[in-house]
Amino acid sequence: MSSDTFRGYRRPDGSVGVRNHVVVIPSCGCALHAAAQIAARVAGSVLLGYDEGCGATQHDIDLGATWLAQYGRHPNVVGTLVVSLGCETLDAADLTRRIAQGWAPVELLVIQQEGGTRRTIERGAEIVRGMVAGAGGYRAEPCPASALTVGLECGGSDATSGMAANPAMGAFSDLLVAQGARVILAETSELLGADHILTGHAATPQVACRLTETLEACEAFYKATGEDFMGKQPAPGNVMGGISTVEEKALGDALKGGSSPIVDVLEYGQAPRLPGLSFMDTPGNDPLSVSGLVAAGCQVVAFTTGRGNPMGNPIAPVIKLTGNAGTFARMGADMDLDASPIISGEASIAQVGRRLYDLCLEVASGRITAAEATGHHEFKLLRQGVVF
Amino acid sequence: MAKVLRIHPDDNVAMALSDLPAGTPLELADGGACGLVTREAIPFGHKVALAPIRAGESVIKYGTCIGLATADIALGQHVHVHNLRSIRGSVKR
Repeated sequence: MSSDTFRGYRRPDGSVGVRNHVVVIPSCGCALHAAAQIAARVAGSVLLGYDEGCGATQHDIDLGATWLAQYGRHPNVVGTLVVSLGCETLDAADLTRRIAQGWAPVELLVIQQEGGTRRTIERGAEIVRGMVAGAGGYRAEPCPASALTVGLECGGSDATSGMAANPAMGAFSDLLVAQGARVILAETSELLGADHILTGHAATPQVACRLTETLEACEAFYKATGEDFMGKQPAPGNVMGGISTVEEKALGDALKGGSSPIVDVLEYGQAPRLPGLSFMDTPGNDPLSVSGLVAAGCQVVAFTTGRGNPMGNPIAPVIKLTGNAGTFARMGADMDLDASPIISGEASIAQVGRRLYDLCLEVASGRITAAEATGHHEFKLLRQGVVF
Repeated sequence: MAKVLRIHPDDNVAMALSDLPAGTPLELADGGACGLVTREAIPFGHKVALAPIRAGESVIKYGTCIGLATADIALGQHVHVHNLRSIRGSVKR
């Protein structure tokens, strides 16, 4: 098989970026405003809208810091400013040190030490301007498709998702896996009812056991709330679009993974350890799930929708496809690819899967996605425990 | 004649490929005749019963049970949350 390529940015640590983002990371909710103002003042910088970091369990704080550090060291990031208030639980100096272990520059500003909001914004904008000026110097060069880690996501699903966009994404995933890329299927709560499909694709009995364990833990966690899944899985829009039960949604969702073996089961935000298709345990909530996929190192995310979900991510392009011709017509500026020809019989699943694959390599080479063009920067990290 | 899509040969429901008014004669998208007529309006993407399904029986799509009928469902009826409930997503069984 020939090796396909895209034009990416080779980093000193051996990773490959597809964008050159300078990010501003608040280390707690009280630093969010200053961080947002800095990002808003400097074109070419982007905010990670983190608003936790304080008053949570140490477990959640530690995991949040780990994922933020992974964003700071993500191959699509070429510079980071951490903005701290100065009294939060999350250790902003440690977060900064962890990002500094990577190759890209990082700076820390503490609002209480800088002398308040205005001084922090002024000083921060100056630092970030310098980082953005330096970001222009990177040159793209041919890189193999195997250097990509791609997340698979669906949101705002309807009955067309399981017929067109998700099977096309499955064909796309198989093409990436054949190139030796890393691909991550996620959204545990949306797969309850497709357990046998997932375990049937497990590369080993150990992976099958871990999939079963992950799905059962998710089910128990949600059932402990005492609430039926209806209204959440499926969500009201899913139901309007013809999906009646979580099982029906799951069987359509599972098609995103294609026919490749599932080689590993990952925690939320954990980087894939093996080439091929991995499963990551994330909620079905789209900003949470996509943020976890990107924390794990996905340079690109592919996203199917039925009703029409425009969301993106601050540092990774999110490619949208829909199998609903009406959605594509109504929300064309939020979509990148029309998968509805599968339903009208004008294109096969394999053909649309190939189009998505070609588009993914173009996006990895710099083509701007609809979510990037419309400025979507949704960012939300998992928190499981209480807020103090 | 309007097309509906049966995803798997074992399915007892099919998906409407357009908004179907009551009384629409149906054919399967893969060419198979089914001799069915919609008993009520079926919106695009929603399910129509291809076989009678009794209360408590499985509704099959993708060749797999997607839940249980909560009422008797006749040929050509709309199958959705009013007559189909999830097993997996129900706390109170």
